[in-house]
Amino acid sequence: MTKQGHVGTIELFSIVTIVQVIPVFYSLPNLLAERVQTGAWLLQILINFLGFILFVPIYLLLKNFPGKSIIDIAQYLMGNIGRTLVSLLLGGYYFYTFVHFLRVFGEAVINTALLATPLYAILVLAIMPPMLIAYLGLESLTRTSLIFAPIIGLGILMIIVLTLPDVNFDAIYPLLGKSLLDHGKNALELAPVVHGTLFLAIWAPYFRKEKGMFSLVLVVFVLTMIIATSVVILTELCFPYPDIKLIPLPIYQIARIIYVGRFVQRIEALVLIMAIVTTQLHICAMFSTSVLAFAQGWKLTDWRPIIFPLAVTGFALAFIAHDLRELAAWYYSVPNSIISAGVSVFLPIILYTLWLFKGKKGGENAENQTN
Amino acid sequence: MELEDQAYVVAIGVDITPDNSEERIVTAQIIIPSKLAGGASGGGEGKSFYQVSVRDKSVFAGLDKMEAVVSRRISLLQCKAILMSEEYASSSIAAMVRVASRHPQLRRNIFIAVVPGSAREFLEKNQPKLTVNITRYWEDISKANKYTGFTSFSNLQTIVEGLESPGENSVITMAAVGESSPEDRPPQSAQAGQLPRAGGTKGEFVGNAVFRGDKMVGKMGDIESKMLSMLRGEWRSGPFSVPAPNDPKNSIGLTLRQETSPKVTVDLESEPIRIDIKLKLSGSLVSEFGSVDYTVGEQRKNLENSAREEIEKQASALIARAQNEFDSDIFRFGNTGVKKKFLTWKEWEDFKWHDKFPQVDIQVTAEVNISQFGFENAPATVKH
Repeated sequence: MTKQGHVGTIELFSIVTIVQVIPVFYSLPNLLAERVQTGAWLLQILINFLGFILFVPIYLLLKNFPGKSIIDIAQYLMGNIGRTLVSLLLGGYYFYTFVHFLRVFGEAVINTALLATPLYAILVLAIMPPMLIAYLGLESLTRTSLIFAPIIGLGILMIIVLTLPDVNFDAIYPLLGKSLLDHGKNALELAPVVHGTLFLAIWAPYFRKEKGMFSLVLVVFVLTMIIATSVVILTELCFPYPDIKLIPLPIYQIARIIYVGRFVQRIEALVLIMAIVTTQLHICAMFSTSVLAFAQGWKLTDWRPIIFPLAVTGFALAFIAHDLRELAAWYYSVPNSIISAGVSVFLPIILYTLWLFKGKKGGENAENQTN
Repeated sequence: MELEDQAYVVAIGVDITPDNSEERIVTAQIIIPSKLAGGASGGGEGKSFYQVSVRDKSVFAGLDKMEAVVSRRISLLQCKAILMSEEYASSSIAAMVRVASRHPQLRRNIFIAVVPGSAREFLEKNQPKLTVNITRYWEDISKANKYTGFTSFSNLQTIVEGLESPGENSVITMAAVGESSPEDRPPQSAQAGQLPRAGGTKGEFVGNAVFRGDKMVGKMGDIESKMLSMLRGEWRSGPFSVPAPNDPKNSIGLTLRQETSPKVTVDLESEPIRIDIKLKLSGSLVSEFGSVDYTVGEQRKNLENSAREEIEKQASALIARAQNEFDSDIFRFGNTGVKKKFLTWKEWEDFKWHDKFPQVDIQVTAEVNISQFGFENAPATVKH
């Protein structure tokens, strides 16, 4: 297979964090508030915690099959049919996520900056970076994310600090919003959608260093929890419930109310740039993962011929949803939770269980069979 | 779209038409960029803006219609203020607030004011004198409550919160064209348009319009607005007059600063529900105080007691008015105190705070510490 390059640990850390954080840029805070009212902050923490728990089966697979992707593992455990099936499942799932966020991106740009621009024009431009990144390989993606990650982090920190004069701390009460049981149910439903880390199992063959994956993901989840919970709390404090329910694109909306003296105001243009870069990195990651999963499944030595057809198909499918609201409603719906849980939770559990039944033989055996 | 292709609206006026309550007269104050660049401002021919008024079924339809008479595309990106007539505010502001808060060009920190009479007339007559830039004028006015306390903080966000929250109601700044003269009336509590004064801009921003839900139900003057700011914890530093301890007919001017947010203690078990509010203020003595030395000892204590009593009296009077006349928790006690007693939103919503507010026993205690006296330790003595 043509080289994807090597994914360094810090680069991996930055892209995984970006992928985990991205939902809070869009409709997640208002969705959380819709589900558990003023307890949105607590639900965000629970989702993060649960997201990390869901990573454990993936980690166990990666640990026992070093240097192997989940698709290779599927071949070892279930033969060629298993390989094809898992690759189609994963490729399809990440392609679907890519299409979703591509459209979200288009809608966000139209709603905030280019009100009169047709959607297709934005989507045509938005689809270029994923195609280029998929062409260049994972190393380009992760290195690019490392360049932008500190800027994105500083941007979020700047928004939090500059918004402090406008926050209303009483808005966090009643602290729970809904009962703890409701929080638990919602966390179970949303964690697989919001915090999928299964793509790491597809990227595994390209990691420069495989050891320390558990601690890396643990740090990512702690960092994501801090960032995402801060943004959710900030949104709650700036747009007290029930107003928060009606606020899509919360970071952009928060940036619009920043007024710290005459010189520090109207900084939403900067936020917009930050959001565009972050979302583009996320879209690129999802598209590259999808391409990679299909290529691995079909044992393609060169994955590049499938980039263009996939991109064009994604572009066309991105027009299916009616608007941003419909996209959010579907993405956080029960059927989508079931799809996400099926792919990102149950698939690794099933593979891990099969491996246990096979007598815990991995490593070299897998090496022999998959090659 | 190019900047030169847009007509920037800085303020919007909303009135109900005299002959049809379903229609609106929408007035837009539009910047003339070339006049701003040239440094001209104020009234007369050199003013940096002009106005257009249009009649239509809704506010934003009216703004669209303006493009028939304005050669450029109307843009609300620089809009700093929305002024509405009292008649409009008394009917219902919900529809306009909903559209404004959703509008992609308007910000949640846009200044909102209610005008007795016509908003269009107010915008026409009120010509800024001090500033070159009309945008700057609206920005300054919207922040003036920070150092005067004559009005409360009122922007789109605070109004949205007042409309949607079960724990508070909105107030909106009152603005009026001042027609009084200094000889007309004594300098007592004033409402917008009643300041005894001459000169300056015609517009006066004094007092607040009180809302219950989406309808205006009353007004308050400058002193009540100051009390409201203190009770809401929005008071920063501003002038406050208290009766002179040795001569209650006369007043002494203090500059009061709110040290901490009001401490709101709620007892839901008592019947009726009891709320205790503790205000902590510090101040400086700035005005003339004759030959009495209020800077030391007993006199200083007397002055602090006088200030404390005045604040408690005025605050209690305003609370009584809000409970009995307005039936509206404009102080946000629901949000700052009562709501914290509940763990879930349903419990809080089921409590139906707005229904209970008029019967609540609310007690205010103030602590005033006067510790600054300017650059003289004591009043100068007159020898001859």
